[in-house]
Amino acid sequence: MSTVCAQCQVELRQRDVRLRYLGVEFTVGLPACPVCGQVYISEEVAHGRMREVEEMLESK
Amino acid sequence: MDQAELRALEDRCVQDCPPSCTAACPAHLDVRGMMSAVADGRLAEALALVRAAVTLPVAVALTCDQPCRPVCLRGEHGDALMVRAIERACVALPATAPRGRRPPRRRGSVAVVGGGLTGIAAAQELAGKGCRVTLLERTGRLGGGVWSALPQASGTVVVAGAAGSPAAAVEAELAAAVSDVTVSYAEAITAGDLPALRAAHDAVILAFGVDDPGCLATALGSTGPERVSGATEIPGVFAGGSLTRASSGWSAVTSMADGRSLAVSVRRYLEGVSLTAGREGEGAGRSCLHVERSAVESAAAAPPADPQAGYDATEARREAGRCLQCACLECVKACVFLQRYGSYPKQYVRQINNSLILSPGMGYRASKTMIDSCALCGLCAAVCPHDLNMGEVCLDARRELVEKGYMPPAVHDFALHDMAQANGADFSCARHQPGAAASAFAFYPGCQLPASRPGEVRAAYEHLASRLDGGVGLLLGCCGAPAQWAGRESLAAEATAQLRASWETLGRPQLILACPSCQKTLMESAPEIPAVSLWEVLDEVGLPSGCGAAAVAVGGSPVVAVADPCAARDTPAVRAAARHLIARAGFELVELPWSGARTECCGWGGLQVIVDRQLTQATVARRVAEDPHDYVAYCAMCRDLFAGSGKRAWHLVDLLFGGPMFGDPALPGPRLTERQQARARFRRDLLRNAWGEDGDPRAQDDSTQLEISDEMRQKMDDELIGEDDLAAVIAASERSGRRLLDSATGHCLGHARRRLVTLWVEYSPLGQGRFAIHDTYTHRIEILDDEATEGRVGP
Ligand code: SF4
Ligand code: SF4
Ligand code: SF4
Ligand SMILES: [Zn+2]
Repeated sequence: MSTVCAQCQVELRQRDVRLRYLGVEFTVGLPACPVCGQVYISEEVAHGRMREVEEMLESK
Repeated sequence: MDQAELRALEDRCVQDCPPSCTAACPAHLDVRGMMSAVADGRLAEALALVRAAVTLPVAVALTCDQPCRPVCLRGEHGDALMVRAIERACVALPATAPRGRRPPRRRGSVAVVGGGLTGIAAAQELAGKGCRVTLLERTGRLGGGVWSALPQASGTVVVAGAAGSPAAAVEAELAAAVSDVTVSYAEAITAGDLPALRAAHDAVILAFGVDDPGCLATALGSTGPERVSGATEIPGVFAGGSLTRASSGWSAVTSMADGRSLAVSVRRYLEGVSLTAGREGEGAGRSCLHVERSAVESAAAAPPADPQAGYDATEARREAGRCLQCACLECVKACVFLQRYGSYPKQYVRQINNSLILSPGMGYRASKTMIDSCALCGLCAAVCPHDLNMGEVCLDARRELVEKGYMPPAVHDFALHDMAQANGADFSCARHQPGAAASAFAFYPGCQLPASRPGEVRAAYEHLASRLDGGVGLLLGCCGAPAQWAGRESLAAEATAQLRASWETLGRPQLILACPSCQKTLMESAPEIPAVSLWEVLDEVGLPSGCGAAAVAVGGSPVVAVADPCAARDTPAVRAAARHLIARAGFELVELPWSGARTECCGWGGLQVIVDRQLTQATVARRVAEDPHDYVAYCAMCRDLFAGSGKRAWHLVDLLFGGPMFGDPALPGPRLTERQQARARFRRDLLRNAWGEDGDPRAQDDSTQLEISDEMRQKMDDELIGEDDLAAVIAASERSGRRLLDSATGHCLGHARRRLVTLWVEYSPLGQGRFAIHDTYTHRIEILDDEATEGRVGP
């Protein structure tokens, strides 16, 4: 992974990130800055896993 | 709509009704399916269909009196299908090994009196279900009426792959049918024998032919057996067959079907369940299927080269190919959306009904995209023989989802936001004509046309102001159609209230509408506001002097095809005025195959394009392929969607108010995400020029300038991301310094929450407030513990 936090100048590391959609909160492992916590969601993840979860929750 | 109403709607669709041939067949043989299989060379499948409906297929294939043929709709376009000959071609197939499994012996001993086709079929059915069956036949030969019917089919026949005489083939079939049945060639049974027979068995079937010698008929009482079940006055005794029918002559298929039906009655009797429930459809009847046949060409039957031998596989294939495959599907043929989901309204309504009412929320997944992607255009109702309107069903379902909180807010968010902008300070306004203190009329061009054709709209306004007395005010805003379509009734009511208030400030003028969707919406939501279409007014007050320049510019008297918008389906006066104006502007006009009351939607309707862009592309592709001439639309969204697909399309205002600067039919209109800015610009320019109003209170912030490739603009539009969205995210991430960096490319990646999505932008600063955009995407899920998104940006 060549993505770094521009502010802290460190490489991202996987951490548990809290997400929310349609009132449901859940935790997913995502790359994030270990110093300031900034999260990275790539287009691949956004249009892949994230969309699947969105569709699942929307069909509830 | 409650469940009963939905059920009633479902019942209106007749696509499930059997075609005429099947309805007329006492055994309900799937003739259409058989023909389709034979025509495709799938003979074994066709044979399976015959066997599924007919207990004695050889006897039927050789002697059936074909009640299906007089009602076969092909008969009105050539000759009725040669149904029996096709059945014969099916039973000629080499036999497959008989299914081995014996049914378990179950309770029940049944006596069947009469060894004709009725009795044999009943006996075989019951034996197959595990009953102990005794078949009593007085003549010493099974088959009854079949032997006198058989000579018609003399010669050699091929059955199950082997050639032989017809009699031998039938003989073999009947023998096989009674292999599990005890056959007793007894003396004739008389009425006096009945009590003893009944006492010895759990049930008795009287299946005697026309020439009942034992006067058993007297046992049936004066009214005869019950029509559906064949039950007689004696419990457990059922009667059917030729004697009970007043019909003309013996019929193999009727006799056989009677036998099957009696077997069903006996099984129900033995199980102690209702004899008649759910059996209304049994037996021959009439079809309620609607079959559109205006384009059917006549085709005569193709008899077999050798009538003795019957059809060979190739001949059968050709003959079966003449079947019309009777079906309704009128709406499905008309609508790309209905085609998309692979079924037809009866099934769709049932699905929606199930997911909404039977298990609210739970089944939503299956039907949600369907419910949300209908264009609500009403074409289905216009072509349906029973006026079933899927648009109403889908709109109602949307309202219910919204009301119950099951509609994901993000689905229509873009359109609702767009509407809010059009009804906000950027666009909405009400003005008397410059210099006037009152308005007898007010021009209401809608929210889309001013974005697409600002110059022409302004010219139209000035023309109206010059021709009409009493003052022509200007009203800008959105009628609320997007909220209506999204199923958000309260939002729609707010939009109506806002329009009503503006209308009142202008002194309740008559509105002149340029958008057919506004007109349709206001007729329903604000019928007290007098409104008329721009086209009718122009047709009356006359055209501007420069009118016709467009026609001249493209040379001669150019031919155009008029594309009616779906919102004008029920306003013939508007459609007539549009045609009149096109002709007056010097164009020659041709009609599209789908026009007038049967016109198609472009995909903007119902917000389809927001929910399912690809579906709209398919809808538009079909629409623009209907005619090679330039199209003329009088709905801004029709025009822009057609042109966006590469079709040359004019808006009617181009033809009428064209000067040197008329709209180019070849150029696409503003993108969905560019319309807000375009309509804001229209308002600013018009108010400055015509009313001398300076300085927009919310002048645009042009400090951030973006360099965006065409490809990226297309992607933005597909994902409904606006340029202002990108600018807001970049500004926020530049301000806070919180962004990611791709160390390989040096690109920055910022993100922020915008409305109901998290928006990511990959960009590079170019200096002096300029940025190059490399990529952008969104997701609806919100990131919680991430400071970058905590402060949301913008609305
Ligand atoms: S054309 Fe085919 S489907 Fe229609 S009635 Fe005749 S056999 Fe049946
Ligand atoms: S037009 Fe459509 S909805 Fe109407 S009966 Fe035919 S298939 Fe059913
Ligand atoms: S898009 Fe139009 S024709 Fe198709 S189902 Fe919806 S309302 Fe009916
Ligand atoms: Zn950091």
